[in-house]
Amino acid sequence: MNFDYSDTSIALQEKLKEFMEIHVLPIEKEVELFHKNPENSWKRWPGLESLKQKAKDAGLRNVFLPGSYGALSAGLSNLEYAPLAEIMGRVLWSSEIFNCNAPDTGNMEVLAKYGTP
Amino acid sequence: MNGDIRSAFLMTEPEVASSDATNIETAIVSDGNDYVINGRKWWASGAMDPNCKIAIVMGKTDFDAPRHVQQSMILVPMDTPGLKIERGLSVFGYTDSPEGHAEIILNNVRVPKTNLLLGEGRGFEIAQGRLGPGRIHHCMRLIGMAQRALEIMSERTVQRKPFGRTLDTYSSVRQDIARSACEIQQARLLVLSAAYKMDKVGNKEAKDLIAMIKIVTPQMALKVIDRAIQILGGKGVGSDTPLAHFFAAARVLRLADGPDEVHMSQLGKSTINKYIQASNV
Repeated sequence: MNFDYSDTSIALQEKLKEFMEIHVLPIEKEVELFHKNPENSWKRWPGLESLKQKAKDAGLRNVFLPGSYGALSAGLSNLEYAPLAEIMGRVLWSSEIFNCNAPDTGNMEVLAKYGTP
Repeated sequence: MNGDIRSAFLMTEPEVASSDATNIETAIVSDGNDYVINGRKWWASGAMDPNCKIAIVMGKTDFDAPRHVQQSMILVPMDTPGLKIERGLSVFGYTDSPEGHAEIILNNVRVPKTNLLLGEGRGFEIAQGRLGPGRIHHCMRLIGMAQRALEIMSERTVQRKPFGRTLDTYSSVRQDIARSACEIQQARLLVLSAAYKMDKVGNKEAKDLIAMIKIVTPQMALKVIDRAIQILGGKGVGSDTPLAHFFAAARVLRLADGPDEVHMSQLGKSTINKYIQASNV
């Protein structure tokens, strides 16, 4: 067993940490307060879409889907993804920015495996 | 994969012990070119989100078949007539808006037969494949929560000075921090070993390790977050740090995607079988 992170994973970890520092942690409170306001019940925080686009531009989307899924995947193994999910776990709502949130990841995996376009 | 819409997974039911998925009562009945679905689901995470457009529903297509081939999974667009969101549920008071957790009624919901995934009776098979990665992803994120809790409590120890000296000089505080650092690293390495095995031999072969991390990681995170809350005092239970919400989220994961008891039962059985076979050699 060798749990050393690959160069690909290390490079993405650095990029993801930087993304969290610059774009997520400074607004963590603001997003939480938005969702706590009863007037915003079941409404999406308006800034999320632009964050998703930023993550896409940075090549940080869909890193959860293993390389065995071919073109749909970012090509990482579970071992390479683990430290990335750990970084996302530090802010409860952040996984969705990277399209790595439950339950959608499981559903996407099912559709990638068994679905027809 | 574009992240334009969100989705929900409808498996758990309020009326039956859904930790044993063979109990599920939602009926998926064939009718001409369609299936008609009737049942009640809850803890459908993500279903409250206005962007949630599609659900994967688990139900039974054959109540008389052997236990593990009664179930099927089917795609149901959220706007299908007969699908009604009854209410958004809360977890220790957190609604987790906007994605939320919904209770949903399925009343004569009709979808084309082509919406069935893989084939009749193969729902269990899909569930097993689906939940392995889901479980390890939850565990990876829990490590992140616990790690952040450790960092928050460490910072706090040099800021506060009860009874004349800073918290970091108290041996009980150092022990809490030391234990937390050990337990986080233990769980992290166990999660990495499960990830490694999934990569090398597949999710099915890695099922014992997946069970182990699902038993160990939420409990580890709860312990670490609890210590952090204790060290922070009043600030720890309020909303000025993420700790209280972390605690709620970690506690749920002792139940979500299979309660600890189910994973222990399966792991225990599998471990016993392994050693019975070994001793027969």
